Amino acid sequence: MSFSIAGTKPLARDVAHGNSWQLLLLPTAILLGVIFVIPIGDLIQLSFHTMSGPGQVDSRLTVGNYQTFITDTFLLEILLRTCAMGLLVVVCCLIVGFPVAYYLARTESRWRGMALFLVISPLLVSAIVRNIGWYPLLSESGLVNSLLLKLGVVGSPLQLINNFTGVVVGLVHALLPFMILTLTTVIQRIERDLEEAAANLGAGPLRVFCHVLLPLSLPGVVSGSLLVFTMAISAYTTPAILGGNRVLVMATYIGQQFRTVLDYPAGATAAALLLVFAVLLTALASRVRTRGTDLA
Amino acid sequence: MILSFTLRVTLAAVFIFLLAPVIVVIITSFNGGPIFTFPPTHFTTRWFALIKPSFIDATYVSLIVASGTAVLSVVFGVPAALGLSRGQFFGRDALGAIFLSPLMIPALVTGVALYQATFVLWDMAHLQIGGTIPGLIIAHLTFGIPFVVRTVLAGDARFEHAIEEAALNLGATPLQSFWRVTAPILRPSIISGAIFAFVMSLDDVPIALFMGGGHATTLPVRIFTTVEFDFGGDVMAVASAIVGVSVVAMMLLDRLIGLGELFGAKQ
Amino acid sequence: MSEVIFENVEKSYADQLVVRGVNMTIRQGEFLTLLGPSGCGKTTCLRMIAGFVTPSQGRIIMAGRDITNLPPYRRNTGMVFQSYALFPHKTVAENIAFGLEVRRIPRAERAAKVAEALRLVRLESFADRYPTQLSGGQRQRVALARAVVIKPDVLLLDEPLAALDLKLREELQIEIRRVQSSLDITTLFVTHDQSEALSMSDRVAVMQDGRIVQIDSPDIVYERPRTRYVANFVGRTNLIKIAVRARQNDTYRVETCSGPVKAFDVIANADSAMNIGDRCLLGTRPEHFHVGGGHTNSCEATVRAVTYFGSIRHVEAEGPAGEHFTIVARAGDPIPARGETIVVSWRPEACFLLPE
Repeated sequence: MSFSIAGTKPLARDVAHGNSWQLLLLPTAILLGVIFVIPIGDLIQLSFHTMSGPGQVDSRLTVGNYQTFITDTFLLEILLRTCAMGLLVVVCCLIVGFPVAYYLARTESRWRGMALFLVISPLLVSAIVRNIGWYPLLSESGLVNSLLLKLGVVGSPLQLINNFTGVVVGLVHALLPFMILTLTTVIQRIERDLEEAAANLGAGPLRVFCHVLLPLSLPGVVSGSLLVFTMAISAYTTPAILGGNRVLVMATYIGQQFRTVLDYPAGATAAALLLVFAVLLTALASRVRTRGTDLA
Repeated sequence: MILSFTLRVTLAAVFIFLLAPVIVVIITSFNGGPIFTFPPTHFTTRWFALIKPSFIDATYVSLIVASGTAVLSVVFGVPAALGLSRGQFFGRDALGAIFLSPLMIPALVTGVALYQATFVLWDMAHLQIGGTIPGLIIAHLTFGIPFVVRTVLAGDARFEHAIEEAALNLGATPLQSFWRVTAPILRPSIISGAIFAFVMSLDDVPIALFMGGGHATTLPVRIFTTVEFDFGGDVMAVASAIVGVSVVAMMLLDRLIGLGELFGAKQ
Repeated sequence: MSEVIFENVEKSYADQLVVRGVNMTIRQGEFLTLLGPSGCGKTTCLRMIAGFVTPSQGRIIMAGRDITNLPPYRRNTGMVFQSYALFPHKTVAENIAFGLEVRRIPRAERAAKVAEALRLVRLESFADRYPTQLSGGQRQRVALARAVVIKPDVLLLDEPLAALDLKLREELQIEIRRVQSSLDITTLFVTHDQSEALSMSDRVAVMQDGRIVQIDSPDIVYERPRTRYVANFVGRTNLIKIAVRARQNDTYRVETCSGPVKAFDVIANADSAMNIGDRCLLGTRPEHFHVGGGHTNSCEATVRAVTYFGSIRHVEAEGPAGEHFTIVARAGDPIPARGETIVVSWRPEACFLLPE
């Protein structure tokens, strides 16, 4: 999702007024500095403090909060849970998304536009609407459970919402379109001729997948996965609603600290960590993507 | 072919999966029985009548904030994008990355950071920014401006600069050249950036959750807090109404601009 | 008087001198071409007249005014860009009207001028089309109309035909010349294509590494090039190493320096500064070399190859001192065979002296 301006060339003209383009940046730069850079900086510096009393922040600097993160089992659990959630979401999106992406990339039928629109359509409706739609589906008296009970697959209703499962389902649903679109672009870049050549030489569909599609799409797959992972761990609304405020991942932990527990430095520490992760992963994703296109 | 059949089944399953929650919301909003039971056994329209006024107020707040965000994002974003695209100075790429960085940072982090800032501003200057509509707009500018910068940068990169030289050559001053030539050609990029900023603002929960409050509560945040404590059929009705409006808006946009243009079928 | 004068104009970027000490005058109503390879500074010179580049040193004077530091929109030049640079969001008529609008010409007069301009480039029925609906040649004509409708002091053309195929290029060359001479606008044309330069211009200025090395009418540039560079740029040259033995005004008696001694008569440039004893080069165009005797100067050569080009044949031969000769043989001329030793002859007026 990052866009680099490194590809644009500056207007290299020796026109008398040419260099005044820079001045246009000033107001916006100042505004963003004040409303974004400074608050984020302030948040990070807050992570180096502790609470000295309710609503009071102690003025001494300390790295204690970060140390706690590495040693406290409760917090480590949260980190692990966050990563597990991210990985699970990515894997599900890959498995479900790849066939759809393959279809979209290769098909020439006139339904392609319609299919593409269907893939994007969930994104057109507000996230919060999609989230509450899962309740009648996943609750104990919901559709999935009544189907499972009717078919005799289970004896009593499964807990599918207000827990980790619900969160994963919700995130997969929200992020699947992104994965599908990324993979579609990736597969489109692989020439159809290569698959046909492999088939001509005797390779069946599985072979073609393993020896042609997978290796060539790998950089794009990795890049897309990194992005989906980052979006999954950064999400707040979905884990908060579908987890019933009981599923603690980094995002909901941060939310809890700032809304109810009111331990601002602790929340700031977690936020700073999440920030660093998100930025690093996004940067990594674009590195992988550019490296991949170099080889293509 | 067996593979083709599997593929078709998978596709159908995926599309059903993608559309399920939305369809369920609409159906449930007419559910006469317990709303978490699906499928409904009998239907009613009473939930729509029971929509609390606070949701209507929240809708107004959302629209005002989104409009303000869109307009100000353009006002601040377009010059910045042009400055980045055409300027020639040390650190141009780095500054560009900083301008686009808010899009990489989790909205939640931005939300709590701004929340903290409201405390600091109150302590320092008795300035109340939290829980106000201007405060919400300012907060949303943190992603609105980068969105506009991104789309206008892309649009300017495709723009053939010789055209501006032609305008200057024919006697237009730089300002005239901008109004008559550059702006019209960049208009689609500006509009799509503004639309992105508007929609993202309407949708946002984390930032509006922490920056808003009281009268300055947006619709998604109102739904969010209601769902936490009082998840009733009226919320479903509100959600259903949102779906309806989104569909109509999409059809209108398609008529006016052509959705293909907006989404480019590729991301 | 819309003359353009370059006085000691120089331009450097960082530490690189791109235009060095250029002095030239583009006369009122003349069609002057700047000819040279990429990077020789010709486009920079053109853009300095337009005002997109400011000279590092020197002055540019147009129609009596010093325009060196004037911004582009105050110069009253009309420029045709290589990429046409038509406004995509405006129709053909609106494109042409742009310069007039900026000059606040009233609507009725504007419409009349636009119609006249469209007639001039023969695109009357295209007034309401958009640039994307036009072919390359049509776009070029619109760009031309747009530039001339404002009655500029100078018309500037920056390699306008480079993107077109041969046939279209030739058609537009004639078109541009016709428009220019009917309007009598002082014109500067920039190109790397020597045949274009020779066929269209009143004068050609050949540029090398930022300097103008010769500026003359096309026939003089072609028949009497001043340096080896100019000779090779505007056509093929047969070169023989010689030394000057005698001189009387414009008539020289020269002798070969290597190989069997041969003497030739040369009637050279009036200002060929060659003295007795100077070693230099004797240059002759391929079409002035004739197979067989019959002219004052002659020497022997061995035929290496004969290539058929339809209307002419190229005879590649090796001269007495190993020189590479190209001879143009027309239909009806004797066609030698490979390996044959032939006599090549030419007239004293049909060759020139070049410094080594």
